[in-house]
Order: sequence, then C-alpha cells, then structure tokens
Amino acid sequence: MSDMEAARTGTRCSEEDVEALLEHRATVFLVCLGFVRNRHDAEELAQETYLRAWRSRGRLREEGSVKAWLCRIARNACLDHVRRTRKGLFRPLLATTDPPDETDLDAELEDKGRRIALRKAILDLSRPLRDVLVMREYGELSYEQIAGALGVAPGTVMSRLHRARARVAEAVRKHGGRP
Amino acid sequence: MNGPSKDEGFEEPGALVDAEKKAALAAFDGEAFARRVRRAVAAEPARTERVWLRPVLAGALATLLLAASLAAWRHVRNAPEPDPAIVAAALRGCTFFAASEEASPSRPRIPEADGARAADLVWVVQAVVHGARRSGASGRGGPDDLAGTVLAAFAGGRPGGPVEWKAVPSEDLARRLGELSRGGGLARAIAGAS
Repeated sequence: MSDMEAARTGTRCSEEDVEALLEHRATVFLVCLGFVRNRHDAEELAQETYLRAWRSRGRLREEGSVKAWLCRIARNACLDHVRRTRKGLFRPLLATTDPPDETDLDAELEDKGRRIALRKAILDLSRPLRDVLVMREYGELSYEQIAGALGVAPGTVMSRLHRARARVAEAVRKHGGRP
Repeated sequence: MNGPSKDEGFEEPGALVDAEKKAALAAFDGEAFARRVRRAVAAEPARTERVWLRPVLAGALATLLLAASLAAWRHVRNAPEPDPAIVAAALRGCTFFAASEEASPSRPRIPEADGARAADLVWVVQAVVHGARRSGASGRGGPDDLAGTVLAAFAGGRPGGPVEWKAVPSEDLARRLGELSRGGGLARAIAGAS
C-alpha cells in the first residue's frame, strides 16, 4: 500500500499516513499565509489544518487530490479563524513580516509600498476571487485542483483568476511603487 | 497546467507574491512543524475514539429517551383522568360489585372512599378502566365476561388466589361498564353518573 493509499483509507494510524499528508506542509503553510497574512497564525492554522485532515481522513477516498483537499481544509480553517477572532481577514503586512534585506532605504521604502498595495488589493477582492487567487498564487494548485477544492468548474476558476489578477495588477500599477 | 502561470500584466504582483513566499518559506521550519504535527496526531487516536463513541452514546441515550417517552405516553393514554369525582365514582362502582361478599385474603378489600390513599384510588380506577377496555376491545363475551375481566384486573394487582366466578358482580354493573367502554368515555360517564 502506497503512502497515498494508506492516507486514503483513513482507517488506521500509521507513520506513513502522516508523512503522506506532511509532504504538502509547505503548500498548506503558504495557503494559510495567503489568507491570514501572518506567519505565526499561518503556522498555527497549518497545524490545525493537519489535525482536521487527520480527523476526517476517511473522506479522503472521495477526493481527487490530497493537496487540493488539504488546501480546502486550510481555507476553511482560515475562514473559521477570522470569524473566531472577529478580526479583519488581513493584518498590517509591515508589522508581521520580516524586514527586507536591502540596506538601501529608497529600495526598502519602494518595496514596502508595493507590498502594502498588494496587500490592500488582495484585501479588496471578493471572497470567491480571493479564494482562487490565494490557492493559485500561494498554493500553486492547478485549475482542476482549485475547481475540485472549491466545488466550481475549471472555467470558473480561470475567469475568476483572470479578474483577480487584473484587479491586483491594476492596484499595484496605480500605486506606482510609492509607499 | 500545474504551475502558476501568470497573466499578462501580473508580473509585478506575481514577483511580490513570490518574494513573500520565498521569505516565508525561509523562515518556515518544516521539520519542526512536522514534529509538532506528528505529536498532535499521535495524541489523536483516543480523541478519535471518543468522537466515534459520542454518536453511539447519543444514539443509545436517544433510544432510551424514546422508549421512556413511549412508555410514558402509553401510560398517560391508558390512565384515567385524575379527577377526584371520577375516582370517587369509580370507587363506588367497584364497591358495588365487590361488596356482595366479604373481603378475604384472596379478594381485596375495596378501600373506603374517605380513608383510602390516593394511590389506592388511582389503582382502582385503573383496574376498572383497564378491564372495561379489555372487554370492549375483545368484542365478545357477555356481561359476566366483562365483569370477570374487570374483577380479574382488579384482583390481579394484589396478592391472593384466582378470582372466583361466583363472585362476579351484578349484570347491571357489567352492562354499564360495557356500554361505557364502547362509548370511549368511561371515566367521564362515571363522573356524570355520580
């Protein structure tokens, strides 16, 4: 029985099952980061994602992709986290991310400004557009995997992603790199 | 289609996202994270068992509650109305058919109306109603059968020997009980007759 098959069965607890799920831990972490924009919260939510996945691993046999399945659980965990904490979906980016390595002050300010613009642009997206954008850009899921995770058609994923990218790009371009 | 292709014009935001991901992954200790997950998962089996056990316990409890509710409903449905006038009337009726002979260990003494305990009175009413319903439901038998049923039900809840048929009460009482049971309003009719 392969790791994947072992994870799919969901009927026994083995190290192989856990390791099969943990192969996607970086993706899960990045998806959580994309949704909550906070590294600490993202790690906590990624761990919560794995616990949820482990508890409901019996349903995995119905899923086409372990990675997409985990990303969907991660998305739901992040949404629950937002509801639970009653905070905004995104926190200020500058206060929660590491400072850039550049020593050039102008370059640092320019980078900060663009990142703030990016954060605001993603924040302004509707949830359907944001779901698709985060899963694609942060989780690097394929259109089919996103469609399976969100329960929509691949064509819908493509159109939403196109609109989301256009809006984010427009917002960043308007900002012009100035903080 | 498995890689993140960028729409035209998304190069700059895409680069920002990539830089953010790169920085985040550099600070992400995947091995430490994996250890935490393994520990958390290892602590899960007992919890999982409880999760599976919970619906089983809930189902058993629901079954018990349903059975208790059904029994209570049946009891209420079959029980007479706890109206003092009905109890007194039923007591007089029972006294009527049982007073022909003196009470003995095999034949219960009908409690006096004034000094009887409430539980006894309720039991008397239940015996009368139960017997009448049984007779009415059977749809057969004459007045003696009905009265015998009532008396058997009456004596059935007390210590003693079998009911003697020669002690069957009068035909008038038997006919009356039969009429009342067929009408479906035994208790109300007894109360009205009183």
